[in-house]
Amino acid sequence: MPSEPAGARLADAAAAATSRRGFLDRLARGLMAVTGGAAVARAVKPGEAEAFHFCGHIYTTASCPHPTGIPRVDLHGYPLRAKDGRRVDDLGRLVDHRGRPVDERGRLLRDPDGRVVPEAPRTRICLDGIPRRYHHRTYLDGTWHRCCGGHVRRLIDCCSYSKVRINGDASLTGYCYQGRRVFCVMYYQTKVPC
Amino acid sequence: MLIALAAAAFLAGVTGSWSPCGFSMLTTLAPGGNGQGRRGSALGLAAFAPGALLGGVASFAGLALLGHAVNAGGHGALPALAGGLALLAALAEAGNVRVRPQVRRQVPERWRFVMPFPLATFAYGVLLGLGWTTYVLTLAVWVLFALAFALGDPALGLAAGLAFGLGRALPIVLLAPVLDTPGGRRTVAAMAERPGILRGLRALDGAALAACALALAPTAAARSRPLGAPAADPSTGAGYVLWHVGDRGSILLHGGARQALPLPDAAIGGHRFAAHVARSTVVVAPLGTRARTYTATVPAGAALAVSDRWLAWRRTTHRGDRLYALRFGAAGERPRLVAASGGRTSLSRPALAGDRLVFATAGPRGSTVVLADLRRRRRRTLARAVEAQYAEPSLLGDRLLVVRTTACDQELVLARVGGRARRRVLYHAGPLGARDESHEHGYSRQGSEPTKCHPERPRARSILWSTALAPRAAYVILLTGGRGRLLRVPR
Repeated sequence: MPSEPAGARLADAAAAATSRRGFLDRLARGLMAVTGGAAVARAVKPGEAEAFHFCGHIYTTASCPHPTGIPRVDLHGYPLRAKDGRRVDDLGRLVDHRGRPVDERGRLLRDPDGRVVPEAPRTRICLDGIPRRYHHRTYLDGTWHRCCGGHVRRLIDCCSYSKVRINGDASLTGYCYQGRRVFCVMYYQTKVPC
Repeated sequence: MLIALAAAAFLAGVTGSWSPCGFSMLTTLAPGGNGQGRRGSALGLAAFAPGALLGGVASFAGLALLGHAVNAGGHGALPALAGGLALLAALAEAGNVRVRPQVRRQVPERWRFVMPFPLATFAYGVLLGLGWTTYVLTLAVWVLFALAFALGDPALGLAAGLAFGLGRALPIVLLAPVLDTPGGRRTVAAMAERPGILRGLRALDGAALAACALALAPTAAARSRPLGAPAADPSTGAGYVLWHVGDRGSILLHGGARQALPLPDAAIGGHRFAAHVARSTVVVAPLGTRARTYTATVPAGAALAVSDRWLAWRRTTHRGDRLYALRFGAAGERPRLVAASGGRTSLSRPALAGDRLVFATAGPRGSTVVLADLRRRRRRTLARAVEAQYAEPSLLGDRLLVVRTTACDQELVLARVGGRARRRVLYHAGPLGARDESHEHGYSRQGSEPTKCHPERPRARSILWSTALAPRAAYVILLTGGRGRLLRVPR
């Protein structure tokens, strides 16, 4: 999100300075400086993106609410379980490709009568979930990609015209266009190695 | 809980007046005790009271916030432990046991000389309100700290803090201005020379702690008990509880006695018992009365519900679920279609209470709880949700029992039909999906708050499933790997 205000940058810098990755980054920059690459060190950002509550996300906008926590989504914006990328419904249950609840082994969940337990909605995190919960229309505008966990990750801003972001304070421009601002963030993990 | 906790905190604060600091405050804030006269005394008291309130809030609300932050959260073993501790302390208070651990410290006497008098009394108030910086005269103080942390509810912490601060301030504020009068002197003399008063107060502290323990006792699993497994589809009526035990039959429980019935599809409700006795034949018989017996044609495998006037069932076909109701006893009465679902939406097992039938729908578009008045042929949606799922409601009089599941937890909810009375959660279980930490490993927590649950509970091993409601207890099936066990939860 290149157009963050100075205050946010300061806050983020402070947070980065306190993180383990921030320390590693400073260490790497220091080594580069010692070896004569100070100018390069100033110019080059870390390849494995660092900082805030999930890899690749920088700056302080919080996650979009997600049924299992970390806001991993598929290409269409539906929720996936972060640790393995399996589909989950709005109740956080694993579901098959038809939306039916399954167990860890992929077997359908059934009641004592053998009926499959009822399906639940599976909502697109940004485009459906946020309007329902926060009552304003949302948009998916630009994105950015970073290398996370050995694969390319798409960082997605969930944009709206709200001046207040999900954190409760002033929203930032981020990758949002046409006057929209970042309401919350999520990501899509590709299978592209990096 | 709020009332019990606040009362205990208030009494604990009042008991603190018997401490060295309490007596010092009385004499210091009396008009003749500070060299400032009546006006100075009034100013000192006006500063002391807010200080005490502030100190109380800082301690209790701070601990509650800490408990909230570490997800002590009001559930699980911690509140139960704190409740047990409260009970032990109640006994100890009743026995006037010496207070341990004791804080052998007093407010700094110096302050009254080096600070402006109101500022010093404000600071004294804060220290006394904190509760843990000076002599403690009752075990209730420590136990209340433990309760505030274990319950992890900031609102409760705030209430306890205000009550404790009030308890510390009020005796001083009331007594100090009249300390130089004969009545005031007699009161202080009684405080100082009659240990029975302090003992009586400690007994009251004990009673309030016992009330806290009692208020904690109904939470969750502590009072619920399993009744049997395997189990499915419970129903209740006329003091009986019935549940299915797979294809083998059913168990009928009455007054502690269990009777095994060779009827796998059976239900009770009102004063009636209904069961499939042959393929497509259901018999409705009286339950503990001499009422008539009826037969009805109901497809095999249908999930039954019965009341004193109606028989209802859910039938599942390739087109979806269908709910039917039949009024028995009326000549020429035919089954009536009450609800139908298609596609991926399913209907719960029906439940009856008198002329009213309740059921839940659930599917990819959301979930509802629907009440149908069979006599007036009217329907009403009692609850509707997209981010939550309702399952397997049951009805007794004007009370509705239903399982409500969200991404954060599962609740067995008791609510009043059509009323504004607050719903009560009778039983909690964790979410059905495994939740992560809402931030990636090795990364900051900043930004993870909106996607967290409050509190975060571990994933449940069981699904809360079908329910039944009796006058004094609720019943729910805990489904683990397709096998159910029946739990009785007191109302």
